[in-house]
Amino acid sequence: MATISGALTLTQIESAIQFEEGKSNEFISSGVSGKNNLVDFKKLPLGEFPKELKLTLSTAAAPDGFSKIWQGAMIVSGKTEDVIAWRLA
Amino acid sequence: MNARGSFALVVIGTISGCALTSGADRQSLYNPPGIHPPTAVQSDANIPGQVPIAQYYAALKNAKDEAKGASEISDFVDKGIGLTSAYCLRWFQRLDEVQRRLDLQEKDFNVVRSLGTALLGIGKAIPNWVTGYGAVNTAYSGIVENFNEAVLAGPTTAKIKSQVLDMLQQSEITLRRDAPGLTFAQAYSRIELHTDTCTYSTVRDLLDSSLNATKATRDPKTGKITTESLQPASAAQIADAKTITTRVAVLTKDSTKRDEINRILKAIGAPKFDFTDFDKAASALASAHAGMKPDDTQKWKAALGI
Repeated sequence: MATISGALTLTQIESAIQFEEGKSNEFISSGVSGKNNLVDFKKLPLGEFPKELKLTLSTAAAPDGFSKIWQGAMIVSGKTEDVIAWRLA
Repeated sequence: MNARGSFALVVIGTISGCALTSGADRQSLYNPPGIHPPTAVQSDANIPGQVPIAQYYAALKNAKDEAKGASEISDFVDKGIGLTSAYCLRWFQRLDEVQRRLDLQEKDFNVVRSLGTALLGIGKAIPNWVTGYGAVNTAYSGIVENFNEAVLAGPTTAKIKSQVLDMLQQSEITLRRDAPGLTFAQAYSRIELHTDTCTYSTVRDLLDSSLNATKATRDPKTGKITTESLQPASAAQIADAKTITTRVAVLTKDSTKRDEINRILKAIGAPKFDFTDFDKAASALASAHAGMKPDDTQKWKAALGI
């Protein structure tokens, strides 16, 4: 588990997760913990990386070529939002 | 759990009050029921539709005067394993129910506090907990709120359940293998040890090991759980992270690279960088890499010669 501040924008949250995935950790899910997001990662063998991840609000169009891997509440810019995580297919 | 332990749990629950569940409900949130409760509880063994407790006590009676290696003892072990599994699964089901109720009443302090009472109850019952309850109550509230956040209402509940059931299965395999060579007393003791796999303390141990793996920590005095805080990163830093990770993966698999790893550890400011053992050096590098933040990437690149 790791914490991501709920004060960050969705783009900043996405980049924080992408950086963590660059260390061979795969985003699994997220939960709300007070004003922050409590994010769950799966450890991959060092040197293995998950495919590209994107986050969008649930109201946004699905990115081309990506599959939905998670949907749920996240604190984004201080507000609770319904967010979808997408993974490059 | 012995009779004194059961009594302690009841006392804890009773003295503190609970708005979340009734007294009877609350007891089921403690550890799964003890497999060897007091005699009075055994009298409920024939309640239909419940866990297979009647078969267990019948097997116990058949086995208790038998010699080592008797088939009755193996049957007793078999029934004990079945009863333990039933209790364990029902316990997790009850915890799931509590989680759903909390989802509805998340901001209700009284409910959270009441859950705290229940969680206090499912801790290992020792007399000191009863006598010390008043003194530690305030500090324990912190543990409960954080434990609730991290386990009961967090994304890890299913994982912990899965791990506990896996551990129970491993214990079962060993117990079944050993059963033919056990005396009744040994079998009785081993079943109690087997049931201890599915307890609050085991869940807490699992959480601790999970926290260790993710660099999160629990303050031993307050119980507060602190997880690593992730920072936003630029596109370049994300790309650098992958390059660095690939390089670290190669280094930590090459046992001839101990000295190079020590040099890198020193360059990135690791607290220890004079390992004589490759595995320890590699582990230290992997650990440092796990904590790498976006702002650290330039330092890592320089240390790795990238």
